[in-house]
Amino acid sequence: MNNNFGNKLRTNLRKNPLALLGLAIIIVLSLAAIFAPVFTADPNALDVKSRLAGPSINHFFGTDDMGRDYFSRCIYGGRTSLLVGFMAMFISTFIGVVVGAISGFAGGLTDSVLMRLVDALMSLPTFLIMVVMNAYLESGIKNVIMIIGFLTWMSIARIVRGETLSLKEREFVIYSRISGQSAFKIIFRHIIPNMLPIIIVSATINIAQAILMESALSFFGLGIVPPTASWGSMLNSAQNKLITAPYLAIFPGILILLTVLSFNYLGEVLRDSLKGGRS
Amino acid sequence: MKHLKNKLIQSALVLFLVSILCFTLSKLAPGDPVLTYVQPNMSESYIATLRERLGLTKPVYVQYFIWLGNILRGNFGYSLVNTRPVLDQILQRLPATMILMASSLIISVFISIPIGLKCGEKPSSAFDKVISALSYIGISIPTYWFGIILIYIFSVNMGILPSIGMHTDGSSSFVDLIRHLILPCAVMTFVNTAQFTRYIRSSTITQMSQDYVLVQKSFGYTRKEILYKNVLKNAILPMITVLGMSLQSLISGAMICEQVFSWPGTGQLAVTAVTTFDYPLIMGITMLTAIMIVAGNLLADVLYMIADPRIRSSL
Repeated sequence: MNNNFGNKLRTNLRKNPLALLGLAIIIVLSLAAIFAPVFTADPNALDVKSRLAGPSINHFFGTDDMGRDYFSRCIYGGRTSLLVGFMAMFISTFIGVVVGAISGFAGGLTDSVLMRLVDALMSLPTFLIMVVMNAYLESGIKNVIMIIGFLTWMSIARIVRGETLSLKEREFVIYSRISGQSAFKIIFRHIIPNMLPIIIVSATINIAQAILMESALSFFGLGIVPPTASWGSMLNSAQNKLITAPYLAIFPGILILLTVLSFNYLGEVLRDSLKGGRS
Repeated sequence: MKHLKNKLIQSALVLFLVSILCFTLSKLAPGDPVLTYVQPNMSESYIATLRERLGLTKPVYVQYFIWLGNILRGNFGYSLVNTRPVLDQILQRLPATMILMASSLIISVFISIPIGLKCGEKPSSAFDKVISALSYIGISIPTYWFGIILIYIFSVNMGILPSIGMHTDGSSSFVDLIRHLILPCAVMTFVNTAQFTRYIRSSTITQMSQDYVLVQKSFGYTRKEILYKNVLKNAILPMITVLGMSLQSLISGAMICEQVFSWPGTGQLAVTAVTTFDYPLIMGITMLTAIMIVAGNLLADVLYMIADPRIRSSL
């Protein structure tokens, strides 16, 4: 099944130039984020003489109200967004997979309790809770990652639970049960590896959501706060300068849109490859 | 009826869990709640009596049950900032949020059904490709950024639509309200329509490959007849559940939108409550929103049962 998924994914990517473009955008932005210090100016260097200068050869994206190079701030903002996206995804995927697998495998009361907990968390207004938690905790990248990670694992848990329910009736799981393997071993050795493709699909879309949430929080002045560059907080300060410097609002917004779009589209292509692989 | 009873019990359980989460969240909050009542000239012993009268010396689980009992009787406590009843404040702000959410929801449903059907009828046609691209943008765009762009185009540049608030000062005419509603409603409608269109498109594609469509084709019915008489009904049925499920993201979206457009709804109230550390108000809004989401899901389930004869007959 894993092999099937890989083959199908390769043909899907080859057939679909847009998916390749999405992948390319993610790779370029990630590389830019990793090697930001190598090729960009200091994002926090002030240059009062050239404040709010429009895009030019010297400053590709212009400068902001403190004369900081907006291009390097955008690249560093991408660093923040991608870091939050990936790390929050790891946390939420880990919790989601563990809770979902245990819930599906154990069944009975454990299953009911865990699933009602998932329902309860899904009935909470997530964004409001994030805003509240952010106000409690100190603003900063670590807390933002934790908050988003701990509040977005529920849908993965539901998917993994459903998948576990069907996998645990399959022969290879029944055999390993009969041969006396522990539940822990069955879950981690046999069940989870067999739904890796599904987990990858959810994780990809999860990154997109995490990036959107981080940017929204920072836009509210809560998540990542200045001077650390983040696309959301850059948009927050750009809001008041719409008349004089609209480009300040356009660049970070387009970068968020492109990144989230790429992850969402890639997730969809992965999902399509999954359908083919399973039939 | 058994199915409905189960659903009701589940919903009650979920709300019970939500109330525990909500209460825990407020207890984890930094700061001593009694300090909001303390004035500089109060003596230590007076503060101690105050603490006792506020019920803060009781064990946490007792405090929880007192709080829960109050909520069940409709008493959500008083704001720490302006001492007004929490429920009154929320109810005062609710209509604004309802206008925004309901208008965008209704428009999105009416746009997404015909578009989704048309896309699902002929997937990968030129029309479908354009709509798919648009709906990808719709689910990926940061709502607040889209709002800023609309403000830039229609308020700053063209100057034809107001960018903040719900009414021009002193005016309460309907036209004025609509003019203020257009931009925030457009933002939410775009995002919702993108989501709904994707669901209807994929459920239409599934329906088109069903046996009954093939049978009707062989009986000589035209594509249009099959699509609008039979596929339509089956394809939009799951929309009821989708609407129930998307209630949560809808509320989050409204919250962000209200903030961008200074729309005087509950979302804005919530953000103010958080920034002023007004815990009773935060808890009240969280609880009421959760109740709305759970009730919405329950309503979706009931409507689905009424709409789907297969489930109705098993009741």
